[in-house]
Amino acid sequence: MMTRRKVMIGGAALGAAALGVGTLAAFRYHYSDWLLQVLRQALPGHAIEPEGFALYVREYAARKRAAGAIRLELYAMAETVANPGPLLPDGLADKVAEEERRIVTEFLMGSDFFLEADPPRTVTYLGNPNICNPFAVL
Amino acid sequence: MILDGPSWGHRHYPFVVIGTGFGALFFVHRLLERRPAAKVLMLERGSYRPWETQIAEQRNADVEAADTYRDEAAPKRWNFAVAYGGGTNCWYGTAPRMHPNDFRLESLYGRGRDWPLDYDEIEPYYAEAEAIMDISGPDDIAAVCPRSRPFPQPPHRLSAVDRVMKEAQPQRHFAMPTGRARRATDRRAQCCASLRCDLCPVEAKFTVHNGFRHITEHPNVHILVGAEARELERIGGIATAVRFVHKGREARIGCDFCVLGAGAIHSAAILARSSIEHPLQGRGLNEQLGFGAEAMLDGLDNFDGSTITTGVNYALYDGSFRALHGGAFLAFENRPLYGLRRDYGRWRQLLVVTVNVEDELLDENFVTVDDKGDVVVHYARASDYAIDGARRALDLLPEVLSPLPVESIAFKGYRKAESHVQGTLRMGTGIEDSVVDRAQIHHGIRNLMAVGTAVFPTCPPAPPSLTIAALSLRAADLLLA
Repeated sequence: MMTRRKVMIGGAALGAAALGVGTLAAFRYHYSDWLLQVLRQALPGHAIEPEGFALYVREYAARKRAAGAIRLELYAMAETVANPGPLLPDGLADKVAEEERRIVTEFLMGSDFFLEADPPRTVTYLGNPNICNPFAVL
Repeated sequence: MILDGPSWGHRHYPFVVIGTGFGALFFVHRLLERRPAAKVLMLERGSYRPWETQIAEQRNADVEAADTYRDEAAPKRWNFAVAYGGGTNCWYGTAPRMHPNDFRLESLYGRGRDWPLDYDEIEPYYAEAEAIMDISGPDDIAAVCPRSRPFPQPPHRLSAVDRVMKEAQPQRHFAMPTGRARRATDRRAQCCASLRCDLCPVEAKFTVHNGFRHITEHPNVHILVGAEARELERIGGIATAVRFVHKGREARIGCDFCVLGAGAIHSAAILARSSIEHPLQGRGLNEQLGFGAEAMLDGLDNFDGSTITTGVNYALYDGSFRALHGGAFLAFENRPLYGLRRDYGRWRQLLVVTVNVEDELLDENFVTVDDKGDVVVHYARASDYAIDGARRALDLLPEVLSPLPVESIAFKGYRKAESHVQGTLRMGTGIEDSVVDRAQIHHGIRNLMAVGTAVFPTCPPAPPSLTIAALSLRAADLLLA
């Protein structure tokens, strides 16, 4: 028999589940804002071509999901609404700095940025950031 | 030929080889040269995965190394490829020789053990292994590791950093010897300076698939994949058969001679399951203690070499200090392993050095099997010898890099694994101090040979692949002469 207590517990559980799913979706949505923010800071004066950027976001999110990087997702969401950097303990701040460096590296190494002597004004991500060293002289 | 069906060729083979990595393959290569009609069965636990499959699936093996054993002490990652070809699939192609003094560590520095052979004895086999693998390298490296023959392939182009270092330290800094082709051959493409080599995108690196097709396709060599060797049967001091599991079924195959090349962890476990005992068997599991360092450079653009690791520096490798702490092998990377600089326009003004420090074999690091026969790794720690060597290498790195416009040097942490699992069946001269003799024959089972890094009696700073290959050629010659 369905009691009021059971209804309340069931409702709370459903609400918590919905909140969890919604929050997770929000985190993932916010990856793209955070990545764009990091790239714009690193590439002043350059535009970022949107379709290539969308590809980069998909590849990045897939890698992070495969790695189960939930703490990074939390940070990515927080970063787009505030600047939590100064509040982070040293170890975590270093990790975030490393991750931002990796983001810029992967994006540039997989883009047309280094393909010409003068970097293009609009940078287009092409994919496969780990394939070849663009600086190598064969 | 590859066998993957429910049955296999014969009930008995003159030669049964357990494993298909460097050690096993180079033994079989020489065996077929000397006895072309020899019938051989190779047992491989993993599957047959051609290069195309590995690239398509972006992995070398479909069995994770970590799923093949259990950790019973401090967790440490042991990296090896469970697939036909073993480490030839996943290696990065770095192929230096050991230093002559690596073979005389005890007599020169009072540490570890002397090897039961010296550099002069193995030198012709080094040269032959380099020829088989078409190794690229600089002939002037003979100043450190003497050579009887030039390298088969010219050296790779040095990076801007390497060129400065070479100018300043011509007797210490060299192009890295490597199995990544400098020039295309009929079997391999020219190296494209890929940013990872375990899955070489152009098949420039030496592997079983491009280098040992004559073994893979040989009608007398039956290669049974998906076959996990479990134990040896023996009568007294003679191995008579290998018991294994193939597609879930237990099976056995008779043999006249057995070669054990299943890697340092599993080779020791197979002997333990077989109730073959020796106080040192399974003991001394080790690999180099590795760490990364990154130097920021002022105005010097790097990474314009022609392969992933372009330089090797011997400044901290050998000397009287080895009486106190380990020597270090310094590999100069031609890739931004930790990322580009974030200073606009100075993206590649940096250097990554990967440091391998020799370890000592500790009895407290060992491999055994539990009552179900499952493999258990008891790895307690790296030795103080290695840790002190790493500290010294880090302290002296500014001095080594002094020819460069260095702004800062950062320690980037110890590496999780070096993929050089070594030392559980060490070789030596007597039964008291070794599991196998100088010909790599087991002291107690005289028709059993161990190949691969398991037989290393010390842990030299240099990566081991070329030495494994040379040792197997030599061991086959000693057996078949």
